[in-house]
Amino acid sequence: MASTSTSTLSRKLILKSSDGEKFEVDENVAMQSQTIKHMIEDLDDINSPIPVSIVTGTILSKVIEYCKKHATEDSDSDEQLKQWDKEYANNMDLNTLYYLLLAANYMEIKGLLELITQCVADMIKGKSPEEIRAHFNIKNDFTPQEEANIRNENPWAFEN
Amino acid sequence: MDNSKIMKYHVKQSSRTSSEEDRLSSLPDAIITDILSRLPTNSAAATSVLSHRWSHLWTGITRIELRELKSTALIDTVLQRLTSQKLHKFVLYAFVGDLSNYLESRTESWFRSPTTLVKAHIDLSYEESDPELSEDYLYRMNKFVGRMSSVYDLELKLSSATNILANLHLEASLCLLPSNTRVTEQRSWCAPDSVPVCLISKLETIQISGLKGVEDDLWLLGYFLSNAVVLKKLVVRSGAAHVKVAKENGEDQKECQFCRLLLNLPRSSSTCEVVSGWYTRESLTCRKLHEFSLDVTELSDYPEPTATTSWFREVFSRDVEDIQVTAAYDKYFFIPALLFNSRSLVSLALWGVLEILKIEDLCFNLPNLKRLNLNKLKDVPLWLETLITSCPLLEDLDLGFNLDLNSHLSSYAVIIVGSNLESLTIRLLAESSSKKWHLRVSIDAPKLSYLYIEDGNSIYTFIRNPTTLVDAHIRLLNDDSYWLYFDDEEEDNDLLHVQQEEYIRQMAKFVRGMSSVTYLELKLQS
Repeated sequence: MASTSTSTLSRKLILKSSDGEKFEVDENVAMQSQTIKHMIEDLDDINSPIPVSIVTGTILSKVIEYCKKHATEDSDSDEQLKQWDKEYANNMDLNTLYYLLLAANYMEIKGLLELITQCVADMIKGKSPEEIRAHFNIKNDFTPQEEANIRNENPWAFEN
Repeated sequence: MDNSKIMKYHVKQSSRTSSEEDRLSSLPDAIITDILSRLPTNSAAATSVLSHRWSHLWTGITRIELRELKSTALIDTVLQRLTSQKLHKFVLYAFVGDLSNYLESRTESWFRSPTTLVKAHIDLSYEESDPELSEDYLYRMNKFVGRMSSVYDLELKLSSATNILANLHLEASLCLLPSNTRVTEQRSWCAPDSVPVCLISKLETIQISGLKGVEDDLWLLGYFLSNAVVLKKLVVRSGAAHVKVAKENGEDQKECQFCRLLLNLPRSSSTCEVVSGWYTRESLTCRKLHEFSLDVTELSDYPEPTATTSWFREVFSRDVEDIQVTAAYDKYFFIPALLFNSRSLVSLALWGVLEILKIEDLCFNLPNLKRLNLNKLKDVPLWLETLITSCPLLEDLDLGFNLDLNSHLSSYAVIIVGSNLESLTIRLLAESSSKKWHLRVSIDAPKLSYLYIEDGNSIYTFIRNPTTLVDAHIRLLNDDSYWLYFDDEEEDNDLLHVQQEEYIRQMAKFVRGMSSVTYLELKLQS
């Protein structure tokens, strides 16, 4: 019993993904999610798995990877951490990015949400509407006349 | 080998098919507007053409960033379409010369809209600096900023190339502290992440009005004071009637907490003066002032006589009990004669080089004064004796002289008469001189119990020997020339010798007069 009190910092939590995969993580890693933090506060028995209902195991492992990196603040400089973030986001395909966005949004992990939204914003930046549609597979459901009207309404938006 | 190639192909295939589902459009509105908020505003607006789903999403953006505007009408267009309830950031990179004109006319209507602007980020750096334009520009910008009544996080980017910002008048910027947020949030004003360059390197004067005298205000003022390195003056004017502010340390012990806290805020500029609404009479609302302490040694513009007169008149109208003035030693600080005319005054301490105004009208009426401290006097003024005798209740007298023996003094003899005097301290520092004389100090204080003298020059005598004196410290040290000259100047030898003998005789008599002393510290020149 004495050993548990000294190791409160590295208390383990079990997260359970929507497809039933279980992940054992340090408490301080999981606590970066505001949602989990609140769930723990309401939970009597922290040894039971915490369900992360809308996140699949594949995505959850990615989320945990991010949280682990950001839980150990002292190991890296800000610059190194930024570099790591950049590589982390660049290695994701679009599909994973969407799910990560949803997961970060649901789990309320501010840093991850910001990282991914910025990443998607950077993909949009500097692209013409046609290029954006092509990149994200957005189907143009306007008639040519409708599209022309919109462009005429906001000519300033399309100058660059 | 073949197998793994096929696997790879399959993975690629599957990811392509899934991205063809257009998951971006299927994201919740909040996430999409968050993404769009990270784009330049025109790029965000351009997404309206992507599909029906996107046609209005951009209007929910929470950050507006307008750069290199070609037409000011655009600002209207954007703001009119905006549907976001809360705007985190409003960035305007202003290059257009007459933008300020436009801003002035429009700000009011913009920010009356339900949109709550909480963070304004205004870039006023323009490449070419035309001082005339700049001044007008700045004036307008001030008005502009002043109207953003809901903003509590303001980041002003000001040109570092121009000097115009040496005097930024942030009038009304304290609207930055909206009353409604104040109630709910502990710190309604948040310092920007980065301190504006102008604040660090340029800003010399900040004028702030509309203070309510609450903790938040202190926080804001503390931000300015701790960051503005070259700040020379911070003028704080109260907006509400309940603010207790006073020039420098003026305070009512109970009520002027705010002022004391304000003046105790750390300052990064060593020459910063804080003027807190002294000039407006209403600002000091306490009826009774216990203590008024003024330190003007750091002031760059030394107060005019008229100013000091009005300060002290204000102080005296509030029945002040305790006055402390610390002035510089190299400039005259003007003390109005009325300072010596107060029924309420109990304690008076004046440090530094003082000049009394209208000395011809000087009359003393300090019936309740118990403690008097005059230090660093450069002269032995004629009025000193009169001052001491006109304080019948005086218990504690502390006199400090820094005399230049070469210059002419107003008086060479002082009689200290104090029927209630219990404690007397005299320090006399004399600069060396060939002219030999003694200042004669006669003491008539029958109730004296504590005496401290540090003086190697003057001759002290008791008119009546004090019978109650128990603690005496007499340091008759003169670290300069008296004794040396005695050796050098043969022709004056006799005179000096006579003087010296007289001095020793008198001082011996003086010490003998202290018959009741239980503690005596004597330090004498060998």
